[in-house]
Amino acid sequence: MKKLNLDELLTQSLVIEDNGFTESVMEQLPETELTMPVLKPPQVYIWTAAFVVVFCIVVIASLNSDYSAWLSAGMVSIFSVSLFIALPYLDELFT
Amino acid sequence: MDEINLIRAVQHYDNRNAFAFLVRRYQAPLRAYLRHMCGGQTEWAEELSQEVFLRAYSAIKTFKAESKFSTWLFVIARNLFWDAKKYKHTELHDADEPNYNLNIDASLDLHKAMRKLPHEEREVLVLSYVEGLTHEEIAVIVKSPAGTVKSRILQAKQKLSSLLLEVPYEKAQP
Repeated sequence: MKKLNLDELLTQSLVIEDNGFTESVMEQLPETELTMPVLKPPQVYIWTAAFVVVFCIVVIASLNSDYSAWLSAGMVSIFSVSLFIALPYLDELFT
Repeated sequence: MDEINLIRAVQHYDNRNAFAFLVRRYQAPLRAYLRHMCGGQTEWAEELSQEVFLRAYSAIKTFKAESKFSTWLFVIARNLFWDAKKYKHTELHDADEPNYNLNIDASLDLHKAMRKLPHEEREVLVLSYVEGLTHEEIAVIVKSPAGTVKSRILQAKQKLSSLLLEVPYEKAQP
């Protein structure tokens, strides 16, 4: 009487070595153009909110001060905008 | 890096190393599935397998992680197979014997017997042995109720057992 282990037979029949399959697929992938990374929610909301808050604090502070405060406000604003623009690239660097 | 992070790396940053890792991870079950579906026509199955991964790469931004990545891949594979079959009008049971990594005689008997099963039974049987897919996950892939999947697997195993016991392969026994 022949013994039949169907589970084992089926499981073994599904074992296939790679044998260059992955490399072949990777070679056929379409070339993609480098595009500027795009901020996605919730990143956009968090950084927009942070920018608005910092800007408002600096503007309110500068209303009760002299021209040096306006200069600080301008610098902080420029820094915030630069950070906002650079964020997608920084995000990519650290991911 | 876990699977969802690999997928996000491909989706957001077109990270090809991450995609290569996913191909390496899923090539065996997917190719095995398509070889069985193609009735052992290895060359055709290999072409389809490559096409599945190329399509998956193109469409990976649409993967929402609502199902397992393997389920999503098998849905692509199944759709591709049925489209190709319609186009090819091929008889699926006159193929060369496939080369698998097990006792040759037992393997040939298994694949001969598998080809005698109806497509829908062969399909669910193979899917149930790859990737630990549940009946519910297979149901999503084949677009049938889970109960139908369960009964098809049972029927397929019963038919396969009786077919294999008919085929003489004692010569492979010591």
